[in-house]
Amino acid sequence: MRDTRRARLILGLLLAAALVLITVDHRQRDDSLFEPVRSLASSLFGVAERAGTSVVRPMGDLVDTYASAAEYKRQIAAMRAENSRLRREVTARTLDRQRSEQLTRMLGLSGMGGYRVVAAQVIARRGVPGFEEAVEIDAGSGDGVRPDMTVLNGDGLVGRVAHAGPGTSTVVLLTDPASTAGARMEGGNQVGVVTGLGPAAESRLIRFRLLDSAATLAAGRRIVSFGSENGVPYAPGLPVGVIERVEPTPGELTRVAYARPFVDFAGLDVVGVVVKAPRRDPRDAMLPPAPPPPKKQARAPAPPPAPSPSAPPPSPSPSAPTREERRDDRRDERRQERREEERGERRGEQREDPGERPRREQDGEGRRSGAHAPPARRELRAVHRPAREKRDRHDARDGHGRDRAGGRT
Amino acid sequence: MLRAITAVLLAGLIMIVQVSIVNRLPLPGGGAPDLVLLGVVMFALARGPVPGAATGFAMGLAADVLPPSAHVMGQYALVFCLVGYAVGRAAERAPGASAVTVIVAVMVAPLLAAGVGGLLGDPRADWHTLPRVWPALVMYNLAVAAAVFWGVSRFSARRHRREAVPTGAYPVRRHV
Repeated sequence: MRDTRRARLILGLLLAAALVLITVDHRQRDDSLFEPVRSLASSLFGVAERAGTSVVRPMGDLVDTYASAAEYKRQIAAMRAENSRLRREVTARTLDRQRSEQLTRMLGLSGMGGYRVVAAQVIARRGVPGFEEAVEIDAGSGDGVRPDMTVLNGDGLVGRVAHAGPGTSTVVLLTDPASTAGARMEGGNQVGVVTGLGPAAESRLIRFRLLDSAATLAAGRRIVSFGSENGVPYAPGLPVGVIERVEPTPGELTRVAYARPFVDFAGLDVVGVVVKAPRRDPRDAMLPPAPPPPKKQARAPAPPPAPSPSAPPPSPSPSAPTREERRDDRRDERRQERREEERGERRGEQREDPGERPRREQDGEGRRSGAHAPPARRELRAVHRPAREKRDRHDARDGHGRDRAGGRT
Repeated sequence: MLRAITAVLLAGLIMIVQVSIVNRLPLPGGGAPDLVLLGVVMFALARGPVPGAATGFAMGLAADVLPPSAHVMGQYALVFCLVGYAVGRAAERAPGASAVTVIVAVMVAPLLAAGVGGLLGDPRADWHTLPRVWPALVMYNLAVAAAVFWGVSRFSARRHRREAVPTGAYPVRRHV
């Protein structure tokens, strides 16, 4: 009996200690008291995990070699085909790049700043036993990694850095249910939010919530990351995934779709941490080559007028015929006029960036000078704008819904 | 002393193996065996409630600070401490039914972890995720537990049988 009492006392003490720990850590989520403990543990266990991975990797490689020799053969054939195709593309790309550089210099804008990436390897993973999708990588604050940096790999967005230890850091994956990232449909400016679905979806699907219930969502459209302020935690323009099926949500304010990520989260190995985001949003430039172009009916009936002067008009896919282009140009000019009027109306409501007006005029010159390069032009006009203004524009759009339905004002 | 050091090293090794090997295996069903939980359960079975609770607390705390962690600290300490105490208590009350104890503990522990996460407002633990993940988790854990049981019983049974059989108890056999 006394033994039972002692056991209960000890259990109570331990539970109380655990609850105290939880409370202290939960109250100060951002700069927890246990940050030194965590960093100590990360340096200790990080070394051990690195050692463990280096021991296991050769064995895994050996098994892998025998298990997937046939698949490798297939892959080699596919790679050869892709290589030849890419070689062909590179020659065309060189010409394109020269032209783009000339245009850039002409417009006096800085070129597309690239990402500065630190490469790292996944050395440990916390999967289902913790319900959280996080991995440990072997690059830490010694390599310039800080918390809240974007992590990517060759296919697209992987996640963000949660803790950065001295030699290792923890990355919360995009498929973690607690992680949300701003995202955008390719070729347009409909903004949404990507949330992970966790181990239940076996890292194969993510949820994409589109904030505009009137926008068209179709399977096969691709999503890129929308970026955050100063590229922290998510850098803009990274490929996120392809929409696989659309959830019918009649009468709701948001549309929900399920997307298949470009990144294979089950076999994550080499990743990169973005230590410096690009200076401007690369828009859709980083998406892989487009599948067969979508049909004309798939586009929104009338693209919404964007009140902000530097917003890129939702233009058709680059492979569209030139007649379509010209009609688009005319519509652009109409929209330009309409924007002028709207700006007159909204001058009291919304603060404007003084630098945008001269750029727009330059832009108009660029169009009048007859440079027919729609994709390049779209990129040049794309200016990275913080999410707040984007949302403002989103709200402002609702006010003009009736104009849109009536065609011309 | 030596045994304590060995136990600590073994616990560390189990955790390293868990995060750097087991969790990275592309197992079907989206689950993986939780070796830390099984270690706590086995220890509590062998030693009783108080050592079980203390070990569970220590292991849980280590699992909380183990590098890929993005949850509140102390969550797993709470869960494993409760599991260790309950398993030790059950082993005391019903010494014969240790297999049932292990099965129940393995089934309840993920639910407990999810429950604590849900109470803390963790968006990862909700009613949609749990039913899809839980069966795979329990299956893998039970498979590993069965393997461990088999190994332990096989290696300890021979010794027990030698001690238990009194000499001269065998009837004389005639080879025909």
